[in-house]
Formats: sequence, C-alpha cells, structure tokens
Amino acid sequence: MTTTMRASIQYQLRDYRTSGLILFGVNVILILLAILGMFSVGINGEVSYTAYGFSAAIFMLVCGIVTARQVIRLCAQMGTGRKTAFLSLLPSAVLASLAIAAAGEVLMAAAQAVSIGYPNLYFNDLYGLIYAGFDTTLSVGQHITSALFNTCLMLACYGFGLFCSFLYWKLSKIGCVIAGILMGLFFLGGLPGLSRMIVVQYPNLAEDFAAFCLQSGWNLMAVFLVIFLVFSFISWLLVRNVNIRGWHK
Amino acid sequence: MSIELQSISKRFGSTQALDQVSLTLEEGHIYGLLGNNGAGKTTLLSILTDRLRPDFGQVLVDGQPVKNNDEALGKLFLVGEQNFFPEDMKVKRAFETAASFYPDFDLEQAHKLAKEFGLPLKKKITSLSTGYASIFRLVLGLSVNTPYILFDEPVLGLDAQHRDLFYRLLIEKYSQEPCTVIISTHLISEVENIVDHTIILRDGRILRDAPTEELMENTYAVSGPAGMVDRYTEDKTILSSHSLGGLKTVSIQGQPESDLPLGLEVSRMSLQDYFISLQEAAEREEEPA
Repeated sequence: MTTTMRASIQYQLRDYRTSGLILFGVNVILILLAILGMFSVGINGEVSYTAYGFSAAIFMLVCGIVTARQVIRLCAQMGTGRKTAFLSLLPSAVLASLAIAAAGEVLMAAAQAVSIGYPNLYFNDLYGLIYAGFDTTLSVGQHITSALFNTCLMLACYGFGLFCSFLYWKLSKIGCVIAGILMGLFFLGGLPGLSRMIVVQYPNLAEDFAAFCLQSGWNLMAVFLVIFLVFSFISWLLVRNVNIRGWHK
Repeated sequence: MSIELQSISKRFGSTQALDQVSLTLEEGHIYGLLGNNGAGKTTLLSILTDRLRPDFGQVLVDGQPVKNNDEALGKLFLVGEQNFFPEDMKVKRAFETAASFYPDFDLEQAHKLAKEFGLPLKKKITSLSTGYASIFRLVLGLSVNTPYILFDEPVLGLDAQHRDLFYRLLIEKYSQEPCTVIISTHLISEVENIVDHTIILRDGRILRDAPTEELMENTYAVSGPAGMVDRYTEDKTILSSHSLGGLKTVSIQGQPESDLPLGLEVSRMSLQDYFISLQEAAEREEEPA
C-alpha cells in the first residue's frame, strides 16, 4: 500500500470514528428509551427497536454523498491522484461499515439479553426480521451473519451515495436541478411503476428474484455487493476526469 | 529534474484559458509567473498538479506524466487561493494530515512558523480570516519540503509585515534547501528581487519566458522632449510610450546606445514597468488596424 493511500484511509477512518460513535450513541439512547418505554406501556403493550441496520445504512448513504468529494479534494491538495483518492474511499467504507455493523451486533446482543425476561420487549435487526423471525433471539453465528448483512447493505447505500455525489459534481447547475427532479420522479413514480411492470410482465422473474433474496441472507448480501460495485464503478467513470476545485477562503 | 509542459491547451466554454503552452521549469530556480487577470496562471498551476485536466498536451514531472501518478504529484505542492481542506478541519489537524501524506513534511517547522505568524492552531480553517487563511497555506508550503513548490497569489490579504516575513522565510528556505519555486502573483514589484526567471502569460499564451536579468538587460526607457524621443526611437522596437506635456517616455526593447543624443535620458526599467509595457505593446498589436 502506498503512503498516500494509507494516509487517505487513516484520515477517513478517523472521521468515521467520530461520526460512527455519534451514530452508535444515538442508537444506545434509543434502546434505553425503548426499555424505559416498556415500563411506561406496562404488561399489555409492546415495545420494539429494529432500526440499527437501517439507520447505519442511511448513515453510510449520507457519508457517500458528503465525504467523498471532501476526500478527493483533500487528496488533490496532498499530491494524490484521483485514482488513489477514489480507491481509498472503498476500503475505508468497508472497514467503517464492518466496525459499525459489529458494534451494532454487540449492542443488539446486549439488548436482546436484557429483553429475555420481558415478553413484550423486542430487539432485532434487519437480518433477524427477514430471516430469523421478529421475536427470535439470535445465536452468535446469526449475529455474525447479521453483521455481514448490515455491512453489505451499508456498502450498497454508500455506493449509491458516491454515485449521487459525483453525478452532481460533474453536472452543471441546470443539470443538477434536472437530475434532482428526474431522480425524485424516478423514486416516486418510476421505480414503483417499473417494479409493478416487472411483476406484471415478468411474474416469474420477479418471483424468482424475490425468492432468491429471501432464500438466504447470503443471496441478498450478494445483491447488495453487486449494487455497491456497480455504483462504485459508475462513480469512478464520473470522477476520473472531473475538474477538482476548492472554494475561495 | 524538471517540470515539462508539452503543448497544453485548455478551454472553458468559449474561453481559451491556455493555448498550446509549452514550458520547462528547471530545478533550483525561483520562477515568477506573471499575467493579468484571466491570463491563465491559476489554470496552468491547476493543470500542473492534475486538479484540472488539459484538453490537449501533457505535463511531465522528472520525466513522469502527472496524470493519476502519485509519485510525480507527490513532488509538487500547490499553495493556492482555493481551500481544498474539509470545512470542519482545524489547522492543527491539517498539519498532521499533511505530515501523513508527505513524509518530508516538517511538523515542528510548521508549528514554529504558525507561532511566528500568530496563526491559531485550534481554529477551523474555514473560520480563518482571508489573511490568516493565506498564512495557513504559506506555512504548509514552507514546511512541506517537496522538490517543487507552487505559490498561487501567496500573499493575498496579507499585511505588509507578514508579506515581508513570508518573502524572508522563502529566501531563507531556498538558500538552505534549494528547490524549485513558482510564484504566481500580481504584486510584481514585491517579487522582482526574488524571481530569477520570469514567465509572462497573456490570454493563455506565453509572452516571455526568460531569466529575469536577461529580460531587464534588454529593455530600457528613454525620456526627453517628444520630438527628440521620436527621432531616436524611429528604428527601435517600442514597447510603450507615454507623453506628458512636451515630454515623452518610451520603453524600448534592446540595449541602449552609449552615445545617446544630448537631452535624452536613459533609465533602467523595473520588472513591473516592463510587464506593463509588454502588455500595452500586446494590446496595440491586438487592436484592429
């Protein structure tokens, strides 16, 4: 590994450490609030918290959008080419996602241990919800798989964040407005419409894909990784010749 | 050991920022990169450091192309007007980050210079005043110890005392560890005694590229009664001329004659006067007949 690559990764990991700790802290507070909430709703109510993986995925999406350009700019100031700067984003995101996911599993395991004596208190995460069951206490092996599942989901979101960031960097002001409108329309109407069309036109394909994803967590992880790689590749195509400019000050 | 720019062209929309610029920047010189606003100085330096990609041509640093080349790029450090640091980064962390990217970065020297300039280490870079933002970048440039240091408007917003301190520190650094320094500036009179080689850009093209002394030796100004000056300059290359009442001053390209007609006075031109004369001559040439 070159000096510049190492320096860039170190810089990013230091940044992820601070923001990741804030994310973790917020989740701890929410879990504590859920436990307190359980006492307030009493024996007849149910309290659950299942949002760690989802919040971590949103966190990585935002990181992809916000920090990627900063890193490319910083690297440009520090005598590092676009290629190294871009490549350094990927291992940093992988390491950060792994650490955040692992910390999340420790937190979930602790929360599930607390919830054992309380039948109306549920703690779980996306992997547990989809593949193990809402009220299942995960085994150590399942926690590891769940951590990897969250890592892959976070990376898929990060890849999409990178794509958005570099697309907007490349576009002119008018292009940004048009892309923003088109993206909004795509998510509001296009994507649901496309999904409906696929289900209607190719019911077998949609069913097979859904079955493939639900069959095993590993399958969906593979899908997430493909999304990550595809968006990362497109992002590289966008950023490889971009004009890197700072701001006046 | 040199930086070579080979036929660099860059266009932004309808503006031709650089047009077939070829240059060689040799090791161990202090270059002055001069030009009016929009001449292409910042674009040139940005292409040198691979921040901007040229439409045509290439840049070689010690024989290696800079495009995506960390080894070549690691030999350059551009102290520019623009901030490339993250918004929330503090001065101290910026120094530490620079030290992790550049193995020869002298962290101790950076802290010493920051103290000398009165630069607060705990402040965010983006919250620094224009002057202190310039000082921050100058401290980086003076501590980074790369073979090529590029300063783009280095003293922007600096008071006279800090400007003087910077020039002194730069000369001190250069005399201790000679490297190649490129200074792009509008404050020509301030760098006149520092730069040993001058490159003058105009509208994306090189007007002059020569040792400063050579440029100065080949220009002079003649002043005296308008009629006498006109007769004297009939067969000479005039760069610029100014009249005031019956007196006229003309800047001339070439060597002054030893037997000058009585009543005419010869004076040496400053780099700034030479630059202005050259720009005026270029403007006259560009005017439609």
